[in-house]
Amino acid sequence: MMPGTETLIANVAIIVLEWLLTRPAGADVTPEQAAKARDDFAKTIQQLKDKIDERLKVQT
Amino acid sequence: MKRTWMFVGLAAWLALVSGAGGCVNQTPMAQITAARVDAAAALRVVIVLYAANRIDDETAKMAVQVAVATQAALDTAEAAVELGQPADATYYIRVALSGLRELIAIRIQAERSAAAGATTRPAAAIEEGVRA
Repeated sequence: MMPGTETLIANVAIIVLEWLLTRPAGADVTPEQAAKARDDFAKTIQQLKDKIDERLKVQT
Repeated sequence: MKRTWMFVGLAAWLALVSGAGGCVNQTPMAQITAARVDAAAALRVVIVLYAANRIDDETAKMAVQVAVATQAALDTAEAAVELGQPADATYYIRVALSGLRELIAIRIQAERSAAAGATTRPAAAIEEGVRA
């Protein structure tokens, strides 16, 4: 083996280790995406509530 | 040389046990958002089927109750994330996911009933409505 190869491999391994330990925890969402999902869900619930109220009014 | 291969082996092992490809993991906020999107999608199907008289009032009301409970659990999980309490966030995400499962079960049941041609109104009433 050429001189210095061992050091090179060790350095690459250390870089990989460093990346593994410092990388982000996982996929995340932006605050805008979170807010949009929150609003969408709230609106959908309200929509179904309105439809039920509308139906009940017609029945009475 | 032996030490070098030990380093390489350790790096490979860490890559495997930490779930290589960080994108597979989701942060709590990503899980909360995904649950909201899925719940809204399930609820939209319920709305369409309810509007088409394929679901009775009681089922629709139950869907609303489950959705509101799911929303509350997700809001609490989000608050726990903001307060830096990951254990609480995980607990409330689990609660919300069981609500989401229930909501999807309602949607599937409603879709099956609709496919079987079930209707919540008598055929005569629908015919009268069509004539009117």
